[in-house]
Amino acid sequence: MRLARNPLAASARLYRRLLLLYPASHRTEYGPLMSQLFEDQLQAAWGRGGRRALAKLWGRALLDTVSNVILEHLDRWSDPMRNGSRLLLAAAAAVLVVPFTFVVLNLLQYGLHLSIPWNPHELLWPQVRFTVWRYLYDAVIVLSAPVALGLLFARQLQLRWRPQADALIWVMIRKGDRIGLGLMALCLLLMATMGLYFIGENLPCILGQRIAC
Amino acid sequence: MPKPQMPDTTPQNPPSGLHLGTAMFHILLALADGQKHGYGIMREVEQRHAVSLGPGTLYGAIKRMLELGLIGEAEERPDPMLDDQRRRYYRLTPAGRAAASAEAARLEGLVRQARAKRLLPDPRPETSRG
Repeated sequence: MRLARNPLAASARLYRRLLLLYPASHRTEYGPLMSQLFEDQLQAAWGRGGRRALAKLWGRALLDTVSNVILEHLDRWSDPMRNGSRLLLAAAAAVLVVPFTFVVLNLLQYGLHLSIPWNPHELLWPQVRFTVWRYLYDAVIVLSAPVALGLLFARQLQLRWRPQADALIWVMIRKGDRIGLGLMALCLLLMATMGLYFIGENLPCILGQRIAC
Repeated sequence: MPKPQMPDTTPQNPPSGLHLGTAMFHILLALADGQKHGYGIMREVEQRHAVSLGPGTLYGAIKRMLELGLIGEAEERPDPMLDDQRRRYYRLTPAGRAAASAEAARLEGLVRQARAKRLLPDPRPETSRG
């Protein structure tokens, strides 16, 4: 057995695996230090009392790990700053839900010619097209992406990532913020789709090729 | 993952009414006479106070104390030939010293009460009678 041959190395390896239970942020910052400290404790225990002392140390280490893993996870979830940032992220996602659903369904219906009779655009557009509600409809679709971008930017301020307007994406990439990056990509996709849609819709009018716009 | 950052705490003004946990107080005591690394703190606490701090408890407390501005990472390091460069050294801040003094005074007050209620013997040497 490897453990029997080199109990110190095996214990150190096992402890490093236990550290995976901690929240990633805590692990990144303190994992190597905790692992190094445990290795020092292992050496001292081995010198003091061999396997018996190692077993005692492991008993204490397990209790220490279980209680602190719970504490760190609770601490992470009760951090008001992180909760605030999560709210902003959820708001950005919520703002994007309606227009993104419209865009996807429209692409399926008009791009791939699938029949979607319950497509909300299909149901709503004829009702609002020649009324003042059209502006609200357009505003919801068009402004959602910039509003979501603003919420993502506010989230970066909340997290004190010191963002700059031109470096919004780079800060997210550097911080490994996958959800933020995903929503950002959605915003850009939505803005591009809306841009193409409005060009396609209005350019012929501008060029005088359509009568009813 | 983003590193969580807490609001700045002015070192000279520790949060009022801050109640230090046992681990925090032991760490502040260990750092009172100079900067130490994690294992150094742990050994001192174990030897002087017979309290065992595991890596999780020690670094959890260190993280919170750094956030509260009670301790800081030391910039000066021992000679690289004499030390492991992976280690981080911690030092007491003025806010940490003030918090440790306040906690020590609080504990002293409790000890005085315990003496007054005869739960502890009086430390004053007995004067000769007659």
